[in-house]
Amino acid sequence: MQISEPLKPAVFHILLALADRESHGYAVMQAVREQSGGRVPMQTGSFYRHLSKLLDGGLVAEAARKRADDDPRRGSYYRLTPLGQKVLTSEKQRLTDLLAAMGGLKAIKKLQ
Amino acid sequence: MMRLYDLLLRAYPPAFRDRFGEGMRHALASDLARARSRGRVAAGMFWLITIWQAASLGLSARRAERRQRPHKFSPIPISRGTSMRTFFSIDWRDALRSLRATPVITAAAVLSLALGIGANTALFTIFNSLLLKTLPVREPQQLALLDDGSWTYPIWEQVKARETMFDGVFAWSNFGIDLAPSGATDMVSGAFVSGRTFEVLGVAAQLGRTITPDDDVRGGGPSGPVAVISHGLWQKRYAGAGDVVGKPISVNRVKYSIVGVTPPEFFGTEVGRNVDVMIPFGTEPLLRPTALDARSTWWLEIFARLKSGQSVGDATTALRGVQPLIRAATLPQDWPESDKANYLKEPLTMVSAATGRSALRSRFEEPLNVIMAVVGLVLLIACANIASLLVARAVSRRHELSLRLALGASRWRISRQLVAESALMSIAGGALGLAFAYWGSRMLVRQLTTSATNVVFLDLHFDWRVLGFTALVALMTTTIFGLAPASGTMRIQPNEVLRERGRGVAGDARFGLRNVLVVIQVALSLALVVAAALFGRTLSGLTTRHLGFVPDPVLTISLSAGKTGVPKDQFGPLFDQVVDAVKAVPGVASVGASFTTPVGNAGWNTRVEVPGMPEPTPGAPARDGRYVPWVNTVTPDWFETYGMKLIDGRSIAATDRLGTPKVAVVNQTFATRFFPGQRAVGAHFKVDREASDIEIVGIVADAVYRSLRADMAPTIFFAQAQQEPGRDLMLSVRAAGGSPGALTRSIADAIGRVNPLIAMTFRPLSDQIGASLVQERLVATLSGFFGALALMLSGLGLYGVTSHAVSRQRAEIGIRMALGARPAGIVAMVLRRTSWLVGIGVIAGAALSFWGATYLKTLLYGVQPRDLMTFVGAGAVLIAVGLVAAWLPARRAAKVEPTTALRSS
Repeated sequence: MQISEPLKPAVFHILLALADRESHGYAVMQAVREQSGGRVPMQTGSFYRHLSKLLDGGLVAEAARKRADDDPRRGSYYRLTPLGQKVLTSEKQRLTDLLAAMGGLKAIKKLQ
Repeated sequence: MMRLYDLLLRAYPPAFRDRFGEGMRHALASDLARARSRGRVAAGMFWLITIWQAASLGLSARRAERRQRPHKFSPIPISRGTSMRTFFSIDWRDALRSLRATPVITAAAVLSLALGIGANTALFTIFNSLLLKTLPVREPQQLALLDDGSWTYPIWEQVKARETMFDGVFAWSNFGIDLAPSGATDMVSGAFVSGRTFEVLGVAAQLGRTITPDDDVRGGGPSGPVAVISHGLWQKRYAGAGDVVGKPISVNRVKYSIVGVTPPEFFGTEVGRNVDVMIPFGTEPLLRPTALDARSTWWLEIFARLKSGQSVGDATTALRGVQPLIRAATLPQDWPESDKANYLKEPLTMVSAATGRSALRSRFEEPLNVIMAVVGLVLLIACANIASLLVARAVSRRHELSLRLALGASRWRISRQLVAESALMSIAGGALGLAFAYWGSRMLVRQLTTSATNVVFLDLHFDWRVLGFTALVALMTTTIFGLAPASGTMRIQPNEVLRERGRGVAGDARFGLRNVLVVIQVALSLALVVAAALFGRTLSGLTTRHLGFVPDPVLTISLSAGKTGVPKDQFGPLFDQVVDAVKAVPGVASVGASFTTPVGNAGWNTRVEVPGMPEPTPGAPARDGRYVPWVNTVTPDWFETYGMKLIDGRSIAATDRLGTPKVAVVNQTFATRFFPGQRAVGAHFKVDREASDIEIVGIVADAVYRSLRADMAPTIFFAQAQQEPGRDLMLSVRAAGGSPGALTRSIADAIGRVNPLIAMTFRPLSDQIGASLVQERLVATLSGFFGALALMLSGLGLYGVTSHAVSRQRAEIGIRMALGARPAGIVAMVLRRTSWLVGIGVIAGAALSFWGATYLKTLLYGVQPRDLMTFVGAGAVLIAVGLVAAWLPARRAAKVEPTTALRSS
């Protein structure tokens, strides 16, 4: 698949949720729901569709299961690959630039 | 529920499932739990989204997977063969795309399909649960039941002594249990069970233990009187507490101790009833005058588990072998000789009990059949509607299709795509219909529950049968409505693309098909409207029927002094005290006591002997209702409480007590039937087997006795004070004003002060009357709803057919108007066409209803099945709907500017 910028909001949020920790699928879904304040709808079917594309694109990889006491019914754990990290960083940068540009615009309007 | 996920997960490709199956299952389960905690709507939304995503994302995942595989065939679609592979890979995508191109038609079709399939699935879910599902026990197909109905305890003891004939036997008897230790009753469903019941059923306790043979000893075993409670009761009353085992529980005011909890899926042996408390037969003497030794009290069911390899027939043979011994040992000694001989002869038979037994089956079989027929017709109408929409689509796509033919697509390929479109709509409609059925079946079953003691419980979880049924219905609808447009493509010519479009005049072959479909719709709708009107009139006839008494605001209280410890001969004075105490409660206008209340659960009838009485019709049954009057026993104030008018003579008086000559008040029907042409007051009659003469002292106006459906029947009212007082009594209280329910608390307190151990159950009379009409109300509401739905669907169908015809005739209409036709003339022209369709439909529908209505006869009251007014009214409604549906496009046509119409074509 092609992962191109700008990222879809759902994809961005999934990468963001995996940025600082490895988690299992449902934890990622919950994190996305919380991060976005529910604005990004995240259902099981669509989440795993996105996840499979990210795995195929090499942005996310399966992680070795960490704790032995974890419930195996939750399924595999996932982590960000270096490529995924890079894509996320560049998307973050793009969004920051976008915001800055908007701020600049506002500043110009105020001057006039 | 996990099974439904698995089914949905199958929509995704296998590789996808292997990779994410576990995680998805976990996520779905967690989300479902969350959604459920937020209520029904959230759970419904969850299922809708999940089903939708499985359908759409599963398909796209499969497509993506295929795209990655190297193509073995030429990538040019038109030249491809018709292998299964292309069937699954190409047509679906095109079909989806073309459905998206006409979103309104697609939405209308899917929605009508969802309603049709949903209604059918909801009904089937109830059928399934009532008739087809096996009991949730170990190897249910090995269970057998001693036919037919109830047996005595001595017979059970005889069977139990020979249990080695089978792989175990048990007895079961449902009865109502009052859990309140004092005061107002708190009724739940209960059952007596024999010692090995749970062992033979193969049901293990979820918590604690089940009842064992040690518990089933007369008077209670070493653990005292014990009870096993259901999972539901454990959750509801004890909040699922782990320490419930060992806690006391009050059963009909006797202290039992809880020893265990049954698993959640176990509901007992009767489909339709969820048993909450199970106690051993041996403790029955603690609760009531015992029936354990009674040889003519028939109150329990006998079940057996067959040995492996033993058929039901083998079991019957085995039982017949020992039948003479069983019968002889349990012969009721006081029966007349002829009855005794019959008792010994009557053969014992075993029947399969894999699906349990059910009183609901017979009670709701007929109304459910009628509703099933109604929803089947609605589905047919919906199919006709969709077929008509699709034909319209196909006609307007002629140009596209002939272009494709011209470019070399095969006819087979094009019709296959049309079928694929229909199939996609069926799948979407079926999925949506399942959601609708989930909600609808639960709502329907809630309507069947009439009171706290009569809760209808059915296991409505979808199983493979329900899902299979839905799939089959969806498949059938696809075939019915998908073939019509597909067959049309066979006549399209490739060169049509060269011809000019839009000059077509009515006369298209597919218009013929659409007309036929519309006529069918109108005819079926008329049948449904007639049925709805008949049931509506039945219900309104029953609810507005002259009762002969004033039901509001009367509160009925069922009293039982069985557990008060008061000796039997003191029941009379005790109840006198109760009546006086209730009379003194503020807000009570009058109080009457009686054996039964109108429209109540109990009935009592008796044969009477009147000198010179007209002979009953020869050959009529011995207990012909016209000559066997109903009986009630009442106190002097009873007639006043019910607002029943005295016509002649006097009422029951306080002076009519034991020891004074027996008197009776009779109703008018009694007087005219047994004393035609003479004054009944002062006359005497005798009742069954009693020697003493009874004098008629008064006549009251007729009133309904037990059933609202029955004609006014002859009724006798004896003086309550002249009867042997029993331990049960019905009080009727008329409130001075306002809701009678508001008096419940103060009356309960007043009775509690007389004796705290009297058990009482309160119920407003209007409630009881409403409950007696549950079947009629259900049938009337549902047929009304579906009748309206059918009207709407055929209105839509007529509208579609007319507006399509009008748009095809734009040029013709333009020419007519250019030549001087008036708008009114154009409207008339369009309406004339539609009137023909409606007219033929109404006539066909009337014929159909005329034939079908006779099947409804037993469900009707106060209206003939072939009632002329109903037929005329239903016809008028359909004609009105048809005219409105045709008038809208006709008006639009008449507004056409002749020049625009001609230029645009």
